Amino acid sequence: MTEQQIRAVVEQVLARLGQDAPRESTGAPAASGDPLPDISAIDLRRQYLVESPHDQAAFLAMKERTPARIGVGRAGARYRTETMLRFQADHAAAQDAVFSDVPEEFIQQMGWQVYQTSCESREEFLTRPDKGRVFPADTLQKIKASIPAGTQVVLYVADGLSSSAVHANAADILPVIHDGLQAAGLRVSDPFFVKFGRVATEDQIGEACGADVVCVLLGERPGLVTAESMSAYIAYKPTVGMAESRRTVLANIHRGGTPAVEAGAHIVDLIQLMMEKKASGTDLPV
Amino acid sequence: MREEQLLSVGIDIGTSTTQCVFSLLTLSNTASSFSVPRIRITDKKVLYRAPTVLTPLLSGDTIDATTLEGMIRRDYEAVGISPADIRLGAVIITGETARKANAKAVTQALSALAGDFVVATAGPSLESILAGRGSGAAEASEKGRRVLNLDIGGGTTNMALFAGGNPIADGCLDLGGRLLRFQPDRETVLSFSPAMERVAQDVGIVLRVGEKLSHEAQDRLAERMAQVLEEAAGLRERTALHDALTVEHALPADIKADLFTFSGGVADCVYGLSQNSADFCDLGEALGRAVARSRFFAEQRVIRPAETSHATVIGAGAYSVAVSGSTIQYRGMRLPLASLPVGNVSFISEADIARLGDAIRDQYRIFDGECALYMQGIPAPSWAAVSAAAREIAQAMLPYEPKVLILREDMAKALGQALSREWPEGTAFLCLDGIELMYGDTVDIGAPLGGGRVVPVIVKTFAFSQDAGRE
Repeated sequence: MTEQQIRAVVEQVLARLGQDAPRESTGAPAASGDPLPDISAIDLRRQYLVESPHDQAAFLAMKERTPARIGVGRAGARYRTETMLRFQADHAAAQDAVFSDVPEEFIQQMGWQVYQTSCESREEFLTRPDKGRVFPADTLQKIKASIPAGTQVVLYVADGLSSSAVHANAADILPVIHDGLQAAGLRVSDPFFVKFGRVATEDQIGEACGADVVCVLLGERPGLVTAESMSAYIAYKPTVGMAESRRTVLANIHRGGTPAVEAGAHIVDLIQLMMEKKASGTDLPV
Repeated sequence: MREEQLLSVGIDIGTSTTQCVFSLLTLSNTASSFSVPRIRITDKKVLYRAPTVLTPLLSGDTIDATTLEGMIRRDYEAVGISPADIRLGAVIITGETARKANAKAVTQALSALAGDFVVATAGPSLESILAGRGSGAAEASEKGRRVLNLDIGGGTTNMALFAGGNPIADGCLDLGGRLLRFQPDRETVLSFSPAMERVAQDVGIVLRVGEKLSHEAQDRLAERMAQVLEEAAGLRERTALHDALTVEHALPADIKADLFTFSGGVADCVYGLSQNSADFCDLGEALGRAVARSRFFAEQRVIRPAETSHATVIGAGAYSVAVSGSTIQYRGMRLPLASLPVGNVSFISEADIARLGDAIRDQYRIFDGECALYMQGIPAPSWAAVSAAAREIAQAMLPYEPKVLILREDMAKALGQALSREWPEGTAFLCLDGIELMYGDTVDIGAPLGGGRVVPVIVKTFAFSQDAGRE
């Protein structure tokens, strides 16, 4: 559905609301220029739309356990306009997360050096996975030069498939990992940012820098529940072309999943364990 | 770690009977392989219920500890379990017996049989909750109904109201089947308690040891007792007798329950399951029949729980232990820690951080410098909040031992790591989350399980009611 069509639907709904409403309230939000209430701010687990339910409390108790869109009521044989709008809003947020860049101000605020993979544009990044895994030779040189000799852990952030995830979590998770590893006596790189980067960028970076462990934090492909979910892919001495099973993955890092600070603290333990066992992925007994 | 099995024992020394139950608890990681581990108790299986025995007493109010210890030891032998195999256990002295003179000595005599990590005597609130969990009332409430469990024992009735699987209110009455005992002819009065005398006065019956009491009079007493239960449950207006029989605190006056369950020894008579209750030669059977005729059943809101007479002991053995969150931080701590009082510190938003230090020092003052600190914490906190809180907390906790911090929200690992950087190297501490506590609770914290990822916690709740505060 295009933006135009959505607008048309919204206008129709508003027009209908206007008809039903008593005269005095013709100054509805849209007419007076006030913004519409943000339906995506509603917690779906607490929203129950069935009219005159037999037992609302019992249904809500069940809803606490799932983000699924249940208990939405109906209009005739279909779901209601609010449900449809919410679905479209969540879908739009997911698309935005994939198609937008991490804001420049945020990158500056974090003090990150930015390195771009071989992708020239976001379109190319989305259609050419192979290019999103590698760097141009001079960029790789720059990354290598920026990491001091003797660094044991390289820690960086990549946009992956959700810039929103980076924006939402990076500022909370990075210092936990960085300070935690330093306190454990490990030498950690200053975090940097890879634009148009996929998971396997860590293989090239690991080979170039010779660090023991490489940890990349990147945005997960968004779903309808959240567009802000981040994953950590951590590998012991990664090499280009290695088996995917050598990566240790920690997914579902977001407000409603594992909070960023707790995930960061867990990653500190994981990396220490990798250093000790000299292994990662399925080779690492956790 | 995928799965770990723990043998647990529950021993309930009640007013009239003593029970011992062995259970097998399974701990497993319920998270997918790409997530932070989430270790839970995923299965509880009752392995063996030892035969119920009468609690041996030396005199009216002294438990015969030696005989009791021998009895329990025989239960172990019967099932082929050595005390060394027990990882978790709970010995609770319940009902009237809890007020017996040598309760402490008895628990000590038995602690060798129940492993390292045991909970000792229970207050009425904990008993009520354990009975409700053990009976299955707590689980029944997970489907959205409010379930009130009434555990009618020999000496007391322990009541707990559950909603969404959790206890939300409790109360206790001096009311049970063994408050009035008869000679083997089941008519001649052998003994009665002061509470029983009060009930008798209320219905105009005079009790005298050695005199006969007609079955009709016995039924009248039982009926009045059933009425008091209705009063407690909000099915009848409360009378002075209800208040007089209240132990520590009553259920809230405006209590509303959707469903009722009965457990405890008398429950078998309520549901008509009893085979040999007459052997007890007390008022239990008449009381059970009176409840079966009461308003509870008239309103058709009674369900039969999975466990009746063994509810409390199963609650103690299998349901008394909670498992902490799976991202916790600890170092150099000697566990288990037994009976640590809980100091409550208000920390529900970033605005509280600046006041954390003073609030912590206040709690240590109240508890003479020895307590666990409980804070709710912030959901998905920012790193700035965690590190600011760590600075305040670390400074305030520095002079005190042991350093135990318990949070509800998932933030213990990040906070614990930040704390360890604030304190001198090697400082012993324990920082855990995923546990909800209330003011006045005490906690036992066991040795780590699940490959060191979690610790078991027994929460000993004292009260929910308005007068819950402890002086």
